[in-house]
Amino acid sequence: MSLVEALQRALAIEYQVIYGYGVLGAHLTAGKETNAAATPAMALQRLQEHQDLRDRLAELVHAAGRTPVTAEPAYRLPYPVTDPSGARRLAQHLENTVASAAYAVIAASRPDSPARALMIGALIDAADWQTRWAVADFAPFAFPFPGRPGQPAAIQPSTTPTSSPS
Amino acid sequence: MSGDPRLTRRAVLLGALAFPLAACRPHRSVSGTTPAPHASADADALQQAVADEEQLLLMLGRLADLGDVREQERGVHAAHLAALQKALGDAGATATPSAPIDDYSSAHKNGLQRRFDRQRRVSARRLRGSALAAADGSHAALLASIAACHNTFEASDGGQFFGSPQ
Repeated sequence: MSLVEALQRALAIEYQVIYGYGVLGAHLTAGKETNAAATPAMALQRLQEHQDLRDRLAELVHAAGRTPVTAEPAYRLPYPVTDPSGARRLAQHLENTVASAAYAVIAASRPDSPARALMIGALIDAADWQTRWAVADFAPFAFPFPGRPGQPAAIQPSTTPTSSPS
Repeated sequence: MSGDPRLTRRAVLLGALAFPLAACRPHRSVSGTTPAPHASADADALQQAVADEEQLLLMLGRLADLGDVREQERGVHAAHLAALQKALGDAGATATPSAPIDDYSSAHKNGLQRRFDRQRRVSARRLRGSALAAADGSHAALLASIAACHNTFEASDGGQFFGSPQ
């Protein structure tokens, strides 16, 4: 995979992740369950970080002389999100997908390049947040190699969203 | 019909130059296993990462003797060590014996826990720098992924939350 292809794929995934965070953020306080380790404020903070990453990826694609891919109107979630637990699991899934995309960009990038620097940070952040959501979901685990190929697939574009972002 | 004597002299001169130049050109080995040009550039970074993982595993072994059993993290670092040794081998280098590793046999639990946390933090920082500078993209991705994993342990209260590695 070329660097530009990897950047475009990472950008497309960021659109999905931003959509997904919109959905899951709305469910973190649903029902009677409260969990101080997974609040809407955390989701909002992470959403803003993903929006920043999206913009920086688009800049890198532009700098490479290509037109950045655009977002779909909606995306199909890997499963319906109806409660806080489902929201936390979706967050883990999304961060895992970001880690995979970051891994691919790093592998395709040149030493000391802006793309590599950006995505090393993105990989570390995604693994960190995946762990945070897992711990909050009382389902801790350890990935020895975050982002390495063989992880679950990304959510797919859809014309009929399964849930509406807030 | 005779040829131009200048051409003949030029041909002789060129031939005389070409022979030693050809002899100086690096040759691919018969088996075709000559390391990629980037590989040796990353050998030092991979070797350092191997040494760091060995150090962490040694400390975890002593911590287990002292009652602080972290089986999941031990498994993760063992997986890191195996992957790094494989990468080193694929790069055409072999793991050289590490510098003498500290003897922790007389270390106390609390002090060793602090030293372990510090060592893991230092290695995560070093891995991140090595990933940025790695000549080979696959080495960069591997080093960044391990850095991300070390960081998640750091961010999750010393890995005490972790269950089974996947």
